[in-house]
Amino acid sequence: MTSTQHRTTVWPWIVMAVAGLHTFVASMTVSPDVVQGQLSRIMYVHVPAAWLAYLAFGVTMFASAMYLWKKDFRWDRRALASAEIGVLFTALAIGLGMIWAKPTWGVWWTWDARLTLTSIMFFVYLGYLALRRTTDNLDVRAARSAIFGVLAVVQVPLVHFSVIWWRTLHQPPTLLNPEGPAMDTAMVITLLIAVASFTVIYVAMMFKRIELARLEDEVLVADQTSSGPVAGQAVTAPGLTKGS
Amino acid sequence: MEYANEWNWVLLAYGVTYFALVVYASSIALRISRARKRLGGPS
Amino acid sequence: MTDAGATPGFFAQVMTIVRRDLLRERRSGEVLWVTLPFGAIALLLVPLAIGTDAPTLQRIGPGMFWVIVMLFGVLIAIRQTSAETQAQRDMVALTGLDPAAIFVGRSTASFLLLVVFQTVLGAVTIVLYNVTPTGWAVLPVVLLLAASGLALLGTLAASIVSTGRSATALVPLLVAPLSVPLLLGATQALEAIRLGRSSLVWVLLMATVGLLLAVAGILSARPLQETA
Repeated sequence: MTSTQHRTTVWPWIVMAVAGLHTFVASMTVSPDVVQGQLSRIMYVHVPAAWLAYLAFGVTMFASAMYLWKKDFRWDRRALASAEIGVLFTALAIGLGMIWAKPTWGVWWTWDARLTLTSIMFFVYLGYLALRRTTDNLDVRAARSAIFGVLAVVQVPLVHFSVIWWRTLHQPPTLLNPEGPAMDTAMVITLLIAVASFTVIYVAMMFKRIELARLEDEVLVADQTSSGPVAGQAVTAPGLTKGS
Repeated sequence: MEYANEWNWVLLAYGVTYFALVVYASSIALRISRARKRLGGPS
Repeated sequence: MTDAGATPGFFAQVMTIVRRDLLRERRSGEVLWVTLPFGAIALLLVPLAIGTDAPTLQRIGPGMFWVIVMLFGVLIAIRQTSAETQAQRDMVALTGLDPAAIFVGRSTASFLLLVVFQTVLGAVTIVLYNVTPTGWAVLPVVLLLAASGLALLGTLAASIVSTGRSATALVPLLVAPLSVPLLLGATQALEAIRLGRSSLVWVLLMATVGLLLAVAGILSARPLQETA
């Protein structure tokens, strides 16, 4: 329809591959933790995934608020892109936490405050994405999801505090200190590298996902404008001939 | 014995991570090319 | 706009909505004859699955009550979503009622129905699980705060989803994770009383949730009506 340039970018793919490889090499070459042994390597993917889960959530909420303020669809697409990537990293953070917890504590799951909060956030994200599927009207979809995004911003801190109070009321968080008292400097640096690399992956994914969101919106608009008269004819014309 | 066991968990963790990242990135690429096709071919 | 009669005040509008919602409930009996029995049978099913030894039931009784109030109470708050068509919504919008008044009215009606729901299910829990309620001073406050918080949250989520594909299925998914502060507030306040501690922080948490949801619902009422 519109003669917008469908310019595609290749650099995010390259950046993703390089950053991913970088994290892998860094976390495999660093010496293992004295206490935890090789298992400490899981931390270099678990911690960045958890960090991105929170970052992506924050970006979605910020973009939602910006959409309500500016009424600019670019903010709506940013919110969507960040939410979808956020679901991925939240699921990863939870899954990797389980993979670490099973050999370390002997259980897949503990009722740690942060873990509980992350799993609740995962469902808030899923609800946000499901809400976006309820309508094809771009304005309605953007407004609804933005208001839900802002509502989540109001509620999630309360979820956070309630879960923390709930845990501290029952048991002091003693065993829940995955890093231990003192961490090796090389390990800290590797962790920071991994967090930075994953953040770069997030940014690159955002670029591609926003590009996809823009294309999907265009497809939706194209479908709606082209199918309108066709559907109308299909309903009226045959009815006239067959009815009489 | 225990050493190998630890590595299995590490392998599982990195396998899950990179599998998920690659699958998701590919799904974006796939959906982009599909949307482009719908909009009238690449330019 | 050029209507001859003066627009009724905010409170009168709220009362109109409350009356309409309660009248609709009296006609359909959805809460009293459908959701309420559904919640009661859920309380009956749990011991069948878990086992019927008295100490266990006594211990899990209050928790089961709150989980079922939160999960099934959402069905009360969204009852209008399934009943209302887009045309009906447009009609309400055309009457010129303040969207904020509609939100407050709907929440109030849901709140009243939820109080009935809680009271009956509470009695069922006491009977089936042999639970002795504690904290007679705080318990009513907790029940009222939980009902109002859930009513506000459900009404807000229902008005966000409005009509649309799988609307009635979606609202519980949106509400459940966000109702965690209410669930924890209610259970932990009563737990604190049982252990002889102060429940103030949990009561305040629930009150804060209710207050924030009320503000959010009133502020978002007009933008939601404009785009829906």
